Amino acid sequence: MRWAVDVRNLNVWYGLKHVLKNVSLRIPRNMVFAIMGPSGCGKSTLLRAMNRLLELNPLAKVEGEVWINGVNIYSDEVDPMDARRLAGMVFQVPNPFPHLSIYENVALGPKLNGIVRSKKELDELVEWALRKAYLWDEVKDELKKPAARLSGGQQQRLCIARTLALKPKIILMDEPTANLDPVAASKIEELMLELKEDYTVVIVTHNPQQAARVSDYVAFLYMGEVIEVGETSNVFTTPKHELTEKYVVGKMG
Amino acid sequence: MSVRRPLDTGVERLKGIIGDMAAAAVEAFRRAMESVFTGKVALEDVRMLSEQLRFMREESGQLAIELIARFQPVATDLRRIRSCLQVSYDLSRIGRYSLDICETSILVPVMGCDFSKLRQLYIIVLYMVREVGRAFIFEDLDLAKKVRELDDDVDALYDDYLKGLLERGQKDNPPCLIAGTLVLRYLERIADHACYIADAVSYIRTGSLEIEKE
Amino acid sequence: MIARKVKNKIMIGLIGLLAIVSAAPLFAIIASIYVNGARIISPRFLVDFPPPPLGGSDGGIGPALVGTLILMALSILIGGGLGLFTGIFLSEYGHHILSHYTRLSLQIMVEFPTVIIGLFAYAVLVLPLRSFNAFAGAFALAIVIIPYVALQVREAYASIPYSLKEAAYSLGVSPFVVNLRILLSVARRGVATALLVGLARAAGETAPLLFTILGTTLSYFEGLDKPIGAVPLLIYNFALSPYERWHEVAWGAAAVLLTIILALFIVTRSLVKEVKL
Repeated sequence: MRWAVDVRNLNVWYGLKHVLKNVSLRIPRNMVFAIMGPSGCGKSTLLRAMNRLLELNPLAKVEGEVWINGVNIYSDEVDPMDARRLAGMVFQVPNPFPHLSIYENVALGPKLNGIVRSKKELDELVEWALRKAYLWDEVKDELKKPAARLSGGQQQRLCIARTLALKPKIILMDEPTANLDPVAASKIEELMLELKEDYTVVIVTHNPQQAARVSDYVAFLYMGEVIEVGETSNVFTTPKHELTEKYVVGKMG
Repeated sequence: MSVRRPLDTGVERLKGIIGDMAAAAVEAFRRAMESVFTGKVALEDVRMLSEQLRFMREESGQLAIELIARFQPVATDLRRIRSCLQVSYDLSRIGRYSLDICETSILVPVMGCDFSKLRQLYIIVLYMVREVGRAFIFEDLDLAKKVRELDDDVDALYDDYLKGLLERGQKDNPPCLIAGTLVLRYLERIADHACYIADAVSYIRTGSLEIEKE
Repeated sequence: MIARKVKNKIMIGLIGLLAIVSAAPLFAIIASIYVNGARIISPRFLVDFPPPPLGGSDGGIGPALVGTLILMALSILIGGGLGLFTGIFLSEYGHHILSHYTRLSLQIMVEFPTVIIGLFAYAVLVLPLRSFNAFAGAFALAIVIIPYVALQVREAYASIPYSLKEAAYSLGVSPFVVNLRILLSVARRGVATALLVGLARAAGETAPLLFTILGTTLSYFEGLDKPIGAVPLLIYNFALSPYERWHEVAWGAAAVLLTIILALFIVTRSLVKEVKL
């Protein structure tokens, strides 16, 4: 179990379109791993393959293995629901449940999954998750407020708290700051660096500068194939592949 | 189709300054050595060129920092800018050594000295400095390798001349001895800096400072 | 310049007028029913048995009202329930081949003349039991309700942003929980409206009841396998009769029916708030 996530020969089709071609990746534990590439290269698809959210798309066909914490989540014995609890996801457009309050948003997952045994435990869990997401101080006096009334950056942190409340091992982030203003975005980036102490963070980004800022390891994806993987400092000073070079210096599309 | 990025204008300007520095360094070196060989001293000219080099070094340093702060360059862009910073230092040193050579030719009476071996060395080093400047501007790795290889010849001639000086020591007049030794030293250092510039070309092109010897 | 402004004003005036004309029938109906029927309504009116044809001022629509309430409850339970699940299936599993054909069928059924549905219920439930019965009525009403509720619920679920559905699934719960506990809450306005309209149709549809329940006025409730009364049916029968007294009762019944439907409408819309996305 050296790797947090071990993707082996993953192939994904949307209908007839071959979207991910024989992708293999190994993601070490407790670090921020970025997956970068131009639009349409398949990075969001790859992320959703890691928590079996891909199956919600009726056109998607998946072949290959994804091992998380020593378990192949695509094997027959594994329930997709377990995979989704192992690897929680934060989305590009912040999507807290609009009909629920701040408290209820964080509490819903643990309640439905039967993680806590009493209201007191639930309260503590919600507070812990909100603290960890650096949102507690801003909302502690108005937990009953509808989540839709928070600002974009706060909503995104709420979504992170919602994910943390389920105690996942991996946190998947799909372009989490793409829809946020720069100040909110940088708060999320700081949060990522904190989170990697306890979790493995996999972030998809279309912005190579962001990958350079926040990640320890980075993979460059192009047209469904992994072109280059390595330590961020190396990939950004001396990339090995000319496509990678083109992408990071901004000469690609 | 090449995309023109905001960074590209800045880098072109930076390279332009380095190009000017390279020309000035060659000129300063040439004139300084002429002073030694012909006795016609061009101290003012060389001093002015050296000053110019110092000034351009400042300018290029500022520009490089500004480009890094504004554009967050990576990969080849980053290596190129870093190399320009390094090379501007090397070229300014060449200017400084040229000035030292010139001053030597004034302080020490050099009329009548036999500097033929020195001249041989000078020709090689001048070639190195000229060509490496071109190699850097055009990022020509082959040319850089050639310059690098000449360093061996420089070392050989250096040893040879030094031995020669020690042998002839008693027969030559002291001023020629002193002047010869000093200028030899400066030539050797100038050759070293030319090699550093060649290494920078390799760094830009391959990311590695080591030029593979063929 | 001025000509254009004047033309603008005329057009706006015209469109406004047409809008009022379109809405006018609704208000005309409401007005005429309340004008004619309101004076006869009293608490006793809601509970008493109908008066004899030439009877006095006593009497009411008790059995019919009870019958309508029972039919509403039964049909919304069956029809609403089936409609809800069908609607969710059509939305969340819309790519399935079964989904395509079901949706097509429902779209056709929505346009079906309800009298035919009544006849169908007659053939299937009244004939074999050899008597008119309440269950057949509820059955017919349910069939009327299902397509509408299913299609509306499908719309409600389909307009939930995909991102919210992903968020719900990423909590690691089953599709059952996702659709019935989380998304139902998000779509509650659309679902409530669908059920409400279904309920209103159950209250007011007359044709499906013609061949199924008989429209008894003699008792409140004899059992699901026996005939039962209903307000629309009463209105139909009493209005067609030659008796003045019965016409009065019919107007009163119409006012009561209208009130039920309006009340349902207002209550649901105010209780179930729009979920702002």
